[in-house]
Amino acid sequence: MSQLPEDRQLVVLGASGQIAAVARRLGCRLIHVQNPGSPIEQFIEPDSVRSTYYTADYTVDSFMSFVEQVLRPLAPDAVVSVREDGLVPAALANARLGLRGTPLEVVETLRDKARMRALLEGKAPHLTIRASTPASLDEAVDTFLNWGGRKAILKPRASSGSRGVVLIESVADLLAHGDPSGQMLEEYLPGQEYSAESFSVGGVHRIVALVEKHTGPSFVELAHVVPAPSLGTSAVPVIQEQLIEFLDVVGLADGPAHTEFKLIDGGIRIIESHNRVGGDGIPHLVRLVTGIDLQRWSIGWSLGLGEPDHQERPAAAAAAIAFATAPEGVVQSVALPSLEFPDATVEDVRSFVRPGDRVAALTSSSARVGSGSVSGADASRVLVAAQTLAAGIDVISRPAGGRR
Amino acid sequence: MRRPLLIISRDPHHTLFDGTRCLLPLAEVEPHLVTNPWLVEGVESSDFRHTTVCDFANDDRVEQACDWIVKTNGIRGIVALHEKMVIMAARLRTAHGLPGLHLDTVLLFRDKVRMKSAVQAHGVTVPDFRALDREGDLAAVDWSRGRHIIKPRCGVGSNQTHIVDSPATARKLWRQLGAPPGEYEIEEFIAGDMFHCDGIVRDGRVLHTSVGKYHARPGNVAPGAMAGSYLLPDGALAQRIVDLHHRVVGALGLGSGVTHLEVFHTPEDKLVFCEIAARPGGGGIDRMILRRHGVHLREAAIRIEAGLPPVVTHRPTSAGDQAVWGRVGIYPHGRAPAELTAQECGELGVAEYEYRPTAGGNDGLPRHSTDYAHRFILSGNGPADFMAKANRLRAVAGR
Repeated sequence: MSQLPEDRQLVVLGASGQIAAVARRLGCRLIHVQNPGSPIEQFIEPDSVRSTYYTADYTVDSFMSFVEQVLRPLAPDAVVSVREDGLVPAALANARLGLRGTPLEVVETLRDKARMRALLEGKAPHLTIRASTPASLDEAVDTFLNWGGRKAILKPRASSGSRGVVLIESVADLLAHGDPSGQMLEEYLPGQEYSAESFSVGGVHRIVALVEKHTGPSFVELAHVVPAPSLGTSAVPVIQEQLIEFLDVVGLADGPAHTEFKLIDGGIRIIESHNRVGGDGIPHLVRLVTGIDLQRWSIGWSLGLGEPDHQERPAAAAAAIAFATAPEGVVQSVALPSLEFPDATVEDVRSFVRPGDRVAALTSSSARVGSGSVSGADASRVLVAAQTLAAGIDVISRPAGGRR
Repeated sequence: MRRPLLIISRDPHHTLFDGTRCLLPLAEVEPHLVTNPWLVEGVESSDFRHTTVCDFANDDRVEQACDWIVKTNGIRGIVALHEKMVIMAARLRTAHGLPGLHLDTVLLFRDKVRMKSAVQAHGVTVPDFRALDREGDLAAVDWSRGRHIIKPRCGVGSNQTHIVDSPATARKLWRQLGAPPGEYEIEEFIAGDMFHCDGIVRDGRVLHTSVGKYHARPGNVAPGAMAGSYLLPDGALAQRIVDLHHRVVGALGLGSGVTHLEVFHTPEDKLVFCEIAARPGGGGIDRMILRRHGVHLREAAIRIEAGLPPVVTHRPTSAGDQAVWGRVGIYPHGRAPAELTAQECGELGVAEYEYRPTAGGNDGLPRHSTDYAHRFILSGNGPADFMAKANRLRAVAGR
């Protein structure tokens, strides 16, 4: 007889308050593990031991002693994370405790872009691009020149959120960047970038949504729209087929994946992939358009919980989110727009900053200052509406130390 | 760099504060708090960055988590002020070589058989007592001394304390308890008044003592009943109790800590040791002492366990010229207690009022000796005036 949800225990690493709320709705007992300094009130249900909370840095080696000494006696049924930095620790913990989850080898293949490229090069070269892990600046320059001196991308082997991604247009750019060890040099692919949200069950992959991505300077993501308006319906079957091939090659049999790709000559080229749902509010867009709650499914799948109903009820035909930016400095004021659109419904508009906060240079997603999301009948129109909404988020910042 | 400190808390989080002031010196220590979901309200992650909120129903798991925290974070001291946590804290200190109370000393303060044996060996008068490991032990009890008390050796808050008046009732109770060896003791019932003496000890020196008289025995836990104590003015009896406290502390080898001693004063004017704890007294004792003497026992206990010198000032925080400061607790009586108004409290000279509508748990009946529905800190012009006010408070609270 299968266990009731309330009899099962799920360890969640590094949840946000929103993920904690989603996890709570699964009905199982929750063991939250958070890095130091996380606000605890979002994770604890007062006067109940249904949710417990531990502070432990799950990104360091001592986490395994925590797994052995603290988690093992609690006899959890699974360890999950939907955060990039929690994926490997969750896989390690599951392996150590003998629990169901995405295998460590798969997680590491997806997290280490060089490892993923090597695997694709051997098994599905048509899905990948030229890539190198130069050990020295000289080697990087040689590789760049061997590729004909065309544009390339230099990025960390394991990162996300556009952090550390640099466009290399010349040898001078490479030299200016310095020692490339620990990073990857990849061919730069022109054209529109997309992402796919998928969910796999027993090796059967379901491509839940194809998302169009819009980026700004330093490849920071500034908008996403579902479905991708620039993809013709004739292109979709090939894309889905090749995404499934990719998931098979990397060995992802169960759980979510967020895969970024570009289209070249009618086929996809993988940019990167992660065994988690996409960030940036993409799961919300996908839920609006498909009725499928990917976050809930991603958190609960290893316990057999959270699978979407067969009767999925989309709320809209299309949905988009766009992000606001502000000049680097200290926030002076924040004002949110109050806009209405004839062909789109405003889902949410918010600021990520308050007066006094610092705005960093726009080199990663964390430098964005707000977002607006909308839904509607037409993907192109909701994208424009979301971008208009985000542009209306008025964050005034001034250089640190400057006068008002 | 701040000193990493483990705080094992089994009290509401606000008890780590005096108003808005945190009793932990946060500029000097980095707290690693372990608490449970019933007590977590008010925890600010900015001050308490390392917090564990777990199920305290399983002591072993709590201790495993604490042990991991100590090992991983270079913990330099452990604070555990709740009676149920002092043994765990001592075991962890002993295992990790941390300063503070270690297991051998703490067991003397927790195990009432070891405790009485140790103080008796130093010439302190104790009730006739013995470990109650099996029914046969009851035959060795001197029943000619009258009523006896059967209670857990490491009990807290007068829980599971039973008065028996004959071998037959004792045997019946023992069979009902079905306790394994090592858990219970039996001691003679001592008639008379009960007093408490609360002290601060540092490096074997007693830095502060306050003596209070219980106006109801701590074991008299009954629905709607009144409990509490008031502080004695200086005098011969108070000095005798202070002297006894010195002898007991010396007998148990306490280096540094905060103590709560309970003694009987018999009709024959003898002082008989009852028990002592190595933590601040509960039920508002710390608050009345703060009012009367300006000494914060909980803060002193925290600082000592953190390896810092206690602050022992002698500046009363309010109305220190009042002759008698005391506390009154009113137990729940099976139905929802009505909160007293500020006007009612003011008219009766109440300085502090704590209203606990959740006292008594689901059935609204008191569960332990400090499970008060109402708790008052107040003063009077003398013991009689204080008791008159206490009785009026009880009447108002019981309406």
